Amino acid sequence: MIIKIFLTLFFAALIVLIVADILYELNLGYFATLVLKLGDDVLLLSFALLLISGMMFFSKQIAENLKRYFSATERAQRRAFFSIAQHRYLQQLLASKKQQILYFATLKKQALLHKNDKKQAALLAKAVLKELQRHKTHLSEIEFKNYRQAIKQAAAQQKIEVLLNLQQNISTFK
Amino acid sequence: MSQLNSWLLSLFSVFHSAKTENLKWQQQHQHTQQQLKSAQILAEKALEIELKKRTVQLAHDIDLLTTENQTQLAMLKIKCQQDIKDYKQYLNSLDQLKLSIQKSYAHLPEAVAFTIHHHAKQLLNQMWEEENFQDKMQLEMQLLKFMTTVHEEARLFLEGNTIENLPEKTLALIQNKSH
Repeated sequence: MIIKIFLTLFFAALIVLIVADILYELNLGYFATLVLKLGDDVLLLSFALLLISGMMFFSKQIAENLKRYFSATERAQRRAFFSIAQHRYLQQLLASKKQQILYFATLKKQALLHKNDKKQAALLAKAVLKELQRHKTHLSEIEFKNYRQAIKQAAAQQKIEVLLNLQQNISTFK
Repeated sequence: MSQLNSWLLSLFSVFHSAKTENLKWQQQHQHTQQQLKSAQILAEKALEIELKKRTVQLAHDIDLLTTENQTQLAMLKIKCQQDIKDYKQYLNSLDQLKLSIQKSYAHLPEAVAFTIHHHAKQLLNQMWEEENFQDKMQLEMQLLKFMTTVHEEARLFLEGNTIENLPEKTLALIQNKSH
């Protein structure tokens, strides 16, 4: 209906403008100005009407969409989706928390092992150094220093196997 | 002017005929349209009820899952704490094992006691890191057998019930393992 009125007004404005042009051609300037003003107003009115109808159309659309968004079905759907997401989140949370617990347990175990390794390496290094001291007479000063350095280095790096090999080597000196 | 008039009239007649057609179609399908509309309303209502039921069910499931998760996590935490405690005890036992050898076989070079201790610790770590339950059990048995052998030999030597100057059985076990 609004479109129909718009079209009518639009064509009417065009006709009025043509009439104004004709009046201008006939040297009826005063009437031509009046008719031209009328044509302008009618054209403006038609476009204003179109604009208002467009705004009304969009407002109606927005209102309908809002109504739909807050409808009971949509609300229930959103609530269901939220619950599904929460369910999935809880499952993922469990997996990550389990990983976290296992990770901290591994760290604790490694700390215990490291502490024990350090203690044993220090004790073994002490024993090997004692053994080296006993065989000092069978070694040159440089060899003695090298062995002592190797023992200290292995103890610092907690290399028990290296210390055991050094002990075996030293015990063979006569 | 008359041509413009006739053109406008024909335009309006086209418009009116289209409108009449539309009205006729609306009249013909009014019943179907109403049926569809009521069917849509019913379907929406049914969907809403179904969704509400599903939400309630999901909320219940979430409650259950939360409780279950909390229990699982608490159990895992206790298990890990127990594992760490066991590991610490194992390490202490191995230290005791070494002291026992050193005490019993005073004449032995200290490296032997450390080798035995090192071997036992390797067994312990292998057992701890094994993920297959059967293999883990097997390694635990191996470790226990090793520790028992060491203690038994040390005890026999200390009591003077053996003629061997070395923990031969223990060393044999280490040899077997390394080959």
